[in-house]
Amino acid sequence: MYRKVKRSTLLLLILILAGMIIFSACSANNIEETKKDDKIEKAVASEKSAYSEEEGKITVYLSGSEPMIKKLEEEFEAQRGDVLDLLHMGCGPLRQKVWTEKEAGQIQADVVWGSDPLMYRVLTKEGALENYLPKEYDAIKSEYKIGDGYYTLVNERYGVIIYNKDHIEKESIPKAFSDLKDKKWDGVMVMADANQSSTALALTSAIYQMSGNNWDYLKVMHENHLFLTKKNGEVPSKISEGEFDVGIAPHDGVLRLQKKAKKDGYETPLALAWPEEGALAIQRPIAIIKNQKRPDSNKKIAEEFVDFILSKKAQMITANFGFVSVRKDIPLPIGVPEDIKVMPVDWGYASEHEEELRDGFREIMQGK
Amino acid sequence: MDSEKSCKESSYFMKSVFIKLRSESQTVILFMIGILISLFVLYPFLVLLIKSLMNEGRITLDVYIRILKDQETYKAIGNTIYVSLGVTLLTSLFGGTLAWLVTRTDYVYKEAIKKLAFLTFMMPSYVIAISWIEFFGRNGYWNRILRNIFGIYEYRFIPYSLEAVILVMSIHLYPLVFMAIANALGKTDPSLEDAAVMSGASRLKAVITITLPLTIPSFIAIGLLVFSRTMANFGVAAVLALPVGEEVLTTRIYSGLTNLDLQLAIAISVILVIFSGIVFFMNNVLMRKRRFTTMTANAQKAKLIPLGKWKNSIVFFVILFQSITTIIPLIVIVTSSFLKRWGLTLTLDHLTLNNYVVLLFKNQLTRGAFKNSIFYGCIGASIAAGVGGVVSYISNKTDLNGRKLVEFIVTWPMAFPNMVLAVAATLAWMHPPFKLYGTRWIIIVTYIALFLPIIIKNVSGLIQNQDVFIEKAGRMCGASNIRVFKDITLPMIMPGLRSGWILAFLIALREIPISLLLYSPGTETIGVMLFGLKSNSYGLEMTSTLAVVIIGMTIIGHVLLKKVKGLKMEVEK
Repeated sequence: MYRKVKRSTLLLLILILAGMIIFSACSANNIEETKKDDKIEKAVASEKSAYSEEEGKITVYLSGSEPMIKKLEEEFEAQRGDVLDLLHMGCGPLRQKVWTEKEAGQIQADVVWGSDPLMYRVLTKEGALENYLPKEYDAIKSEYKIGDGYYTLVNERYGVIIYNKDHIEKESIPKAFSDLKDKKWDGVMVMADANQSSTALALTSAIYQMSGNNWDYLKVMHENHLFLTKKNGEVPSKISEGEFDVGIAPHDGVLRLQKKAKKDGYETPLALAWPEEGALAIQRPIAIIKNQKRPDSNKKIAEEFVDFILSKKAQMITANFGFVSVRKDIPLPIGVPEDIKVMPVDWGYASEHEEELRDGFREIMQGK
Repeated sequence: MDSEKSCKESSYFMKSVFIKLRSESQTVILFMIGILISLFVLYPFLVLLIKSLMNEGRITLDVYIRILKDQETYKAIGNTIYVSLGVTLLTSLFGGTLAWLVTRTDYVYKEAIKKLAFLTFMMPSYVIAISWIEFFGRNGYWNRILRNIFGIYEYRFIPYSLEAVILVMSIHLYPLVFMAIANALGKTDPSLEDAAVMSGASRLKAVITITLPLTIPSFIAIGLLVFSRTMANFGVAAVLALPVGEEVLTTRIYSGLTNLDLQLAIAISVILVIFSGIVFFMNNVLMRKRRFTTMTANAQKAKLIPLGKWKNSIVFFVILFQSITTIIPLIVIVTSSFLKRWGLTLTLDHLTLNNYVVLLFKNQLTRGAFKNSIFYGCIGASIAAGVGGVVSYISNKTDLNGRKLVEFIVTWPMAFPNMVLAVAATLAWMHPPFKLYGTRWIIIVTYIALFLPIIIKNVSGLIQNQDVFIEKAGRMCGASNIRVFKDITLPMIMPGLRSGWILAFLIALREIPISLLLYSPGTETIGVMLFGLKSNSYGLEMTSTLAVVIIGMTIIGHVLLKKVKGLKMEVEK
């Protein structure tokens, strides 16, 4: 009696495990086969987007300031009706979600906007993006016309020096990135971690290139005990809170914090220093995801949304939130100097050496 | 093509076996549990594992070879073990001592200990880490006190280190040990101790040789939980260690995911599972060599040990300990929640109620987010409690083959950072016939996988202490297995189920990575809302406000739960 029961249950467990392994292998194989055979892809992929199950509604993944996103959504839907489902997250999670869905078989978004060009270069190479030139493409400054139609640059932000003016005397204000090598900044400097933040990786690429394609600059930063945050938004936060004195991060967060402080009625010690070497330019692209199952009406909405983000009205909104427009006819945001010196980033180089940049950064920052 | 055929064949064969076995109730239950566990835990895990072994269509161990050659991996492993051991030892010391004081001595403020421990337990580890920074940071309250009152301007203490992680995690987790050990001591017959004293042993020797060994199952079970929870914790390590270049396995996994290196992330997760497995089987080996018997039917009220001349000293140190671990963090976050911006001086013009207004009323997602989190938390915790309770029973009280394996598989998710669970869920549930992606159910299903280990670990210590004779007595009176479970075993483990449910529900309220990667329009959670607040240029003051609200909600929920329970007892009388 006991022996029969034991043998049966053992057999049962083996079967459960075997069944699960086979079933899991089926799923894994589906994932692999999706890349090879269109027929299987058609059978496996959902006929409708996971989110916008109806025609006439698209899903947008985006990063950025939430009030800005809400304002843009209101403007677009005022013209077009309730056609947007927005999923808002940070640069890192955005990149993660897009990539994970791609690995699972199909990116569920119709449009992706934000982060930096590195992600879009990879997606282009893998054939995941639709080709579309916005209507007002010619209004873009020539230096921003890249991406061959697979993605479009729509905003820019600058990596600059941020400092706490309550802690730093006027004559000590850093004027260049090289000033931050001084020992007086030991233990009071902050920057986002290139292994956690997608935008920080872009900044690291820029600094690496500024340094002459070597790690000399960042090694000195580590010797000064550079503190690493999860994301760029935390850099001005920690400086304004008195935890650190100086940092390197995009400028737009500072402009928003300064506005908020003025509105809420307190003095913020945050200030920007525009480095002599040039501000590190990082663009925010937008792209339409390729999806053969998408209804034509949804594709039209996606194209209209891309057109809208590049429109003069939308560009004015984003400029009010601190972002620099790529259009010829939009003024710089308040707080960005007219005579700003900009250091362009070689995204091609950064894309090809992405892994080396990440590993190099970690090796330096975790060394003793 | 071949794989589809294999699926059909295995399905048919499983049906045949099922028909043969349906007369065995225990086997049927195990079968059903196996199905549930396979769906919630094993299937996503195996999808993940196969993913890590596949490279351009062929099976390879390249990624595992790569990480085993990387020195950073061993450093992360060392740091993980260091932190986990440190937390386990500290929590055992804190929690065990307080549990003994409450159940076995005439300590005067027992209710205060219980309430403050529960309060600490309700504070997310991330929030304790934030209050640690707000208190000890360069512009923190402690430094302001030193500066303004004592005139000390030189700042030396750095609040970021592996030791900081150990301290914060110990504060967060010691209530688990306290509750588990207090439960165990409450069910241990004190007459055994009295017998030893009558035989001439000192009270201290009786405690060491009788009471302590009897609580070893609970210490080991809860120690395993603490160790595993610490190993798998990401938030505290990310806040207090990673910024100064100290990496643990979970932050390594997170970096892998952030860098879109899924294979690296999975491979390191597998290492965590292996470590978890080693701890798990060590636990079983230790337990198997001992037999634990307690008769609670005749348990008398414990004779309380007088503290005598030590009373005042002990009262002082307990109050000091709980002030440091509970009251000061609460004061810190409540104070911060009223500032217009954290870091501002505490003056009237810098105070505001606007943080609460924004959080509770202006944010469009607030109501939906709270509703969703409560709903997902209740469903997930309830299903996990049901399945976990049965798994724990099967693992400890039956002779079925494979029972330990079932329990081990269910605890796998404990070793994974939540981010990896979210990736696994995406890969597993993206395709028919189980397409959950884009619905609320993918979040709930992933929560169930997350909660199961917690339920089981809370129950295991209790169920192992239960005497098998009571169950056999029930069966000799003619009761079925199910009846015995319902009337004898279930009441015994209810405290564990309840505390596990509460813990799981609390995690659902504040969890971020799973929600953020899996949410769709309409299924936002508090975690998603919390993330949104941060991107709106808010700082530590808003994090503190949310923490206050979550803790407040938890207290209210707990009080309501007690009242409902009290009402039921009145009806029965």
